[in-house]
Amino acid sequence: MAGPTFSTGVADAGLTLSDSADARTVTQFRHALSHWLRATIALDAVRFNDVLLAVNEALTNAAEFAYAGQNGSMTMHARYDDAGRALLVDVTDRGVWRVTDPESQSNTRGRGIPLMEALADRTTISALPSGTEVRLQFSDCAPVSAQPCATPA
Amino acid sequence: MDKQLCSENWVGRVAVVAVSGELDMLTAPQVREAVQSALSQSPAGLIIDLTAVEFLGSAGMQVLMEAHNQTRGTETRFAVVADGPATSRPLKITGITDLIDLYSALDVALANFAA
Repeated sequence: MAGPTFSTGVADAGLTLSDSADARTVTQFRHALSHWLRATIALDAVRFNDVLLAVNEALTNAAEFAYAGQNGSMTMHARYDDAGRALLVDVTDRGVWRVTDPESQSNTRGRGIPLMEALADRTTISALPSGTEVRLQFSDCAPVSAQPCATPA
Repeated sequence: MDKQLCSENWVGRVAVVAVSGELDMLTAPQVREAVQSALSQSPAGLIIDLTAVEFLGSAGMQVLMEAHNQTRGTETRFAVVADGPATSRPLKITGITDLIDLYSALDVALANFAA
């Protein structure tokens, strides 16, 4: 097949970060995700912020609840799934989210999970033996158009 | 050195707390402090201006709801200024705009407070 060769490394390319589960890490991971998204996934301004916000909420929950004041780590893994044409972001921690009594929810808190569910196309929160995993799926995404390898005229 | 996150300005007896940059788990405590400082001066109105905010997380929304709770039933009017996908959109999605007055620009909010 004639024509330029396009880089198809997006399916393998991913962003994986691990650090202590605290507020500073939430901000750092969000910034890193922002840079990776701009380089990797074609998103309009609204969807771009939706992704950042949904992931921010998963990271914030891990930082706030996973370790009940103790130190622990959290991991963010973002990647593009070529076959499913979806952006997948996993946030995992090795702790246990505190279970909140819904009766005691004040109107100031508790928006993280509803936000994730509203902004991502699919949200899965799994309690694993080793900790908690949040998977956010953003469907119908395209990678940033790859540049063709230079071919002489 | 931390960038100046929020400022407090008075227009008559209305306190305007303007926030810039990112309002998330890390920076929400500073904004909470600025809001408390403004409310401690018994303003006729409080406006939290998010015009220059590039990112608003639920921790920031919590600060807005706290201000709403504190001013509700008092003589202090409360409103938020926000516009765009990073701010007004999440506020609508979470239903916060059903509870808090939202304006797209500061001058509109101030005109409304003066009326």
